[in-house]
Amino acid sequence: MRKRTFTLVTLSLLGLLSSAQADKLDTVKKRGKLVCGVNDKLPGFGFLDSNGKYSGFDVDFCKAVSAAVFGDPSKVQYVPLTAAVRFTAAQSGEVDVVFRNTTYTSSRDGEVGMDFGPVTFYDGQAVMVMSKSPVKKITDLDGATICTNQGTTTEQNITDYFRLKKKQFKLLTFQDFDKVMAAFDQGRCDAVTTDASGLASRRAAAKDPSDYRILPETISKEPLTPFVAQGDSQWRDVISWVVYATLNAEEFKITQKNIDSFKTSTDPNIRRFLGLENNGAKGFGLSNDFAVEVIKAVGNYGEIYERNLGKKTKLNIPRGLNKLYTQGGLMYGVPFR
Amino acid sequence: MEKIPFYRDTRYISILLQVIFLVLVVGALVWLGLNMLHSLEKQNLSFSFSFLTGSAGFQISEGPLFDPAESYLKAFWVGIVNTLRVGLTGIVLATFLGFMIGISRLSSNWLVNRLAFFYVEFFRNTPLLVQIFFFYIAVVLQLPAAKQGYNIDGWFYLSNAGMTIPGLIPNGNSWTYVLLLIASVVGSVFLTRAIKNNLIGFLLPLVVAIAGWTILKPFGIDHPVLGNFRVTGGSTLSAEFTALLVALVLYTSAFTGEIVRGAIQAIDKGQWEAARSLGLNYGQTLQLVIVPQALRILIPPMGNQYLNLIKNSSLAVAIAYPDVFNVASTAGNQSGNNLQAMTIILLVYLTISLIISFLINLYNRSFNIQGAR
Repeated sequence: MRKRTFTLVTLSLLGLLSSAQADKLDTVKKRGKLVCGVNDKLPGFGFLDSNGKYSGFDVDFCKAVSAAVFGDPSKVQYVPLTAAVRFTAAQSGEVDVVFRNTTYTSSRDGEVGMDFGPVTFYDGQAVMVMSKSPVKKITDLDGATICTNQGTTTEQNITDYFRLKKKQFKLLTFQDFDKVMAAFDQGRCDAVTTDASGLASRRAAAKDPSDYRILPETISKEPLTPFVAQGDSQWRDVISWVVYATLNAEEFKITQKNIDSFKTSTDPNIRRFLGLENNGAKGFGLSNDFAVEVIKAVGNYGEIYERNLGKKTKLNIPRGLNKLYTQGGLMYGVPFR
Repeated sequence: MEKIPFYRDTRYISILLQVIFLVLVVGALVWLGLNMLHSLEKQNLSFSFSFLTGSAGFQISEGPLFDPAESYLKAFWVGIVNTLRVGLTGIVLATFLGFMIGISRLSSNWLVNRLAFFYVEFFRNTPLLVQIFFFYIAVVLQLPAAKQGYNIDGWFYLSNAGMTIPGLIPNGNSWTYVLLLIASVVGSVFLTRAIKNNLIGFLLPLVVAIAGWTILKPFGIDHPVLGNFRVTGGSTLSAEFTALLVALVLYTSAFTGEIVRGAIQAIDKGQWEAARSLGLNYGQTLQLVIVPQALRILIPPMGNQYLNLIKNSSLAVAIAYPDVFNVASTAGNQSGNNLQAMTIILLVYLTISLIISFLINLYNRSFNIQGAR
């Protein structure tokens, strides 16, 4: 008898809890804004400037999701996250989605309990030294002190690399990358390591970028990917298809400027993409023409890339693996059909 | 006499209120626990500690020897040792400095008094995290880098990586030597009492120490060597440890200084006057009359500061000192067991704090038994 009462109480408590957690998309719509977890200290990807405005590659994808859900790219509340707290922030529902240069790995998908969207940036871990340092390749750093920030895949990657090459090193892990750079500038660290894109960004933001030199080797695969808390596949679909929309648009050569001229297109692929014919987007809770809103807000993938990381920016990161598959890269827009 | 109904009977009411309170507390805890388990379950996660036996795969920059192939459990252990290392050293130094500050605050010397006053007001009114960054980035890291550091080859190196001196490598004779030293010190104490000659009492351990060292060769010497990037070998006081320790000690001693001052001031003026009329000077008055009584007042609040110091040491994470908080955050992130890592952190700090409070209470009791109360 007592057991049954306990079970009843437990069940009713559980019921209360689960009814409180509705679908994420509905929650976001009701709230009237998207809460997006970003980096605030990585120029080019996510950066909070002195006017209190966020900008960058990842930030543009937050805007794209907002455009897809609300038809308005400005309904985003940005939450700056450190590497160490980003997963907890998604898990606890503090943020709806995280676009923050995060590597997609099996343990994060599995044990950490995240659901990942499509890769937005193919990256790899690299090492940066001072230009005046005699180091030419990573193994020259035998016996050196290398610094990085905490709670990232980089700590294990660099440890693995040195173990594999049977070299010694000392790893210092700081809570945030600003302190890593401070220690590096003072000569406490002989080298710093993180994703190549992150190093390029730090280098570009320096007073004199020629002080730093990025070593040529890439020691890992770092597919940077947006993620949401596990267990809401509809919401994950929304994130995925917003990213795919930007890729498809680049394949179709649809840009922020010329998108209206495609409305008269007779190509059924383009008509489905623009939502002029049914493309099934209603199934994950968006309108058929959500891609139009996305492209009008932020442009296609190539435009987002060039605006934040391309030749005309300080970062000037070659597109490399992030070119479309038709141009020798890995970027491939899954079809709207 | 009319019987009081139970709902107005204070005996019943007090029991009832306690029962209600207990039910509310237990209910809230159960609700929180269920909430956590439920949301974990919703995301297909389990609250298990089995990850602890897996290989950690990351490096720890200082503390007991640690290989990345060793388990997370060992990594946590290294973190705990590092926390205790900085915490216990900090407690000893903060007590010592606190006494100096507290007594200086009471000094009739204007300069000493004012300096101590500004010290206290400055350190207790600025955030500890800022102080830690300041000592690390603006002081310690301003030393030249390892290659350009100050050094006496093979003996002493000072750079922004830290300070390195030769280390001792124990061998078969080490214990004999240490025991011999202790015996000579004890012997000299007795000898001094017996023959009333301080010089011989002082010389005995010195002779034993030197003679023992040359004959037994009780330790090998591990000379540090300057490599391509940093000094290897020897024993090193790292830049991170030093910055953290200095900041913790300076910050905490501002508080312990005030506690010492308060405790001394709480001693009745008559005690001072009595000591003076017995012919004791200022130092003797403090040492023999005031401080022993002040200890009774200052031990409990001192204990609070010790606990604060240990907990504040978790700010180490900001400057790359691998304390338990730093290591646990990394481990939690790498293995995807943040909640478990946080639970371990809570339990570690709780255990350390409870042990310290227990010792403080014990010490406090031993002082109070002899007292008038």
